[in-house]
Amino acid sequence: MPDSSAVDLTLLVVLVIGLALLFDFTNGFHDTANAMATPIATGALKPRVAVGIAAVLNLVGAFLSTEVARTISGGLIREGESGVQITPQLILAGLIGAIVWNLLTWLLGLPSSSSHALFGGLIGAAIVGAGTGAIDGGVLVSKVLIPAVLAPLTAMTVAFLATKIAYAITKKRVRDRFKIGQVFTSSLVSLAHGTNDAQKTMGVITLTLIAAGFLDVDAHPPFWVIAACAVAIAAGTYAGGWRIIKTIGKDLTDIEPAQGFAAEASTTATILASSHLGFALSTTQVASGSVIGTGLGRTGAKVKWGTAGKIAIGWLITIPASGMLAAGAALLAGLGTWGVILDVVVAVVVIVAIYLWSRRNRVTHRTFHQPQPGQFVRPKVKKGAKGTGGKVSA
Amino acid sequence: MTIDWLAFVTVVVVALVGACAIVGLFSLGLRIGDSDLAWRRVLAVVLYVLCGAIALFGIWLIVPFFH
Repeated sequence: MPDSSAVDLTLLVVLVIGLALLFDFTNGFHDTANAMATPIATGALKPRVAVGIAAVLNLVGAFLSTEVARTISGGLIREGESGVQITPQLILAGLIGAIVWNLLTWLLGLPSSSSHALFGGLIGAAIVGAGTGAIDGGVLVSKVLIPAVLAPLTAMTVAFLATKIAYAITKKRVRDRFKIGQVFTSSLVSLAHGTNDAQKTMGVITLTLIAAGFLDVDAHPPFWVIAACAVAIAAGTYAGGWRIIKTIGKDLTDIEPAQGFAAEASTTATILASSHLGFALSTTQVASGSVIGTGLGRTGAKVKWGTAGKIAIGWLITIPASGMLAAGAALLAGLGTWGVILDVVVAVVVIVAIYLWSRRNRVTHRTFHQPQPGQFVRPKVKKGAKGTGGKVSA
Repeated sequence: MTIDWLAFVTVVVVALVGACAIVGLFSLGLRIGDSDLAWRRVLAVVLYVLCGAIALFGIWLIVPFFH
């Protein structure tokens, strides 16, 4: 990049850290839905309680797992001696692309993968900085594109079978009690999310600090980095991406408590299996797939394929779209210090504009009508249903 | 470009078994516990405890400190 040495390094690092934390925040509220859309939809948890639990578990999860990746792009960009030097400018541009794309998809209520937005941003910025040769196409296909097809299909299959089992074994009058189980399964999804996703931002900040010479090579993330990332993702989670929660919990299919439990158990099992058996799958795509699978698994439930199609299109264009946004940002950043400052100013203006636009039709926790216990299930013993409701809200 | 299909199939199988086990146990617990008989209620609690054990195993997997 021309003139890169002219950019004030400290300013650049401060901006990158600020943007990385902002990305972490958008990551949090984008992904609240993965764990909490189904318990909110079935009324197992009140909306504010659900996002509160998710926020705390994300905070805890972030502190539990601080082993950050060695490379920022997971091998997508040929980093290091023989490849591209990932400069702070490039990371800055990638983050801007990812944040803006995350906000646009949130505005549309699309549950897109934040990791893919970040990868797309970095790819776009790297192409501007070093040409298409900087990208390892094989890794892109094998680690991003093919898993993106397999993740929802796997989760769909698992959730379909789990739903069939739940409905085959239980009688109608006890199914409301699945809500109690839902509290636990959705909490597990949240905890797993916290251990995975806050790490990404810790990695970005730590690698930036290393690249700028503020930390030794092979250094672990300092405590303030861990704490800042944990707080940012928890705050984002608590803010609750209500539009995305609505899409997954209400717009894809009508979810009963038994389905919610089956979907969350499937999401948890698939994510834990994938992260421990060496085949990484996106949490967002697994969670959406589980909800579709559970919709297919209950006789009489309808999956709205129009919504599913919109989500799939969102997944398809996430990498190119955030890549193009980041490429634009990288071109500006290439102009030197003023380019970088202009970049951040434009990004802030766009973010504020998206926020103001979102207020035209607000979706908040009040949007969610919570079905009373017994609305889906008509229990023969009324006392039992009431008791279940009491325990759940406690 | 290499896809580790064996790893993928393992993930699918493990996810299927795990999810079906936890949903099956919880459902059985609900079915069996829906009764006034004491032994059925006890059996249901045992099934819930098994569910809880699987959930604890999940937490053990999530927290890197344990392994």
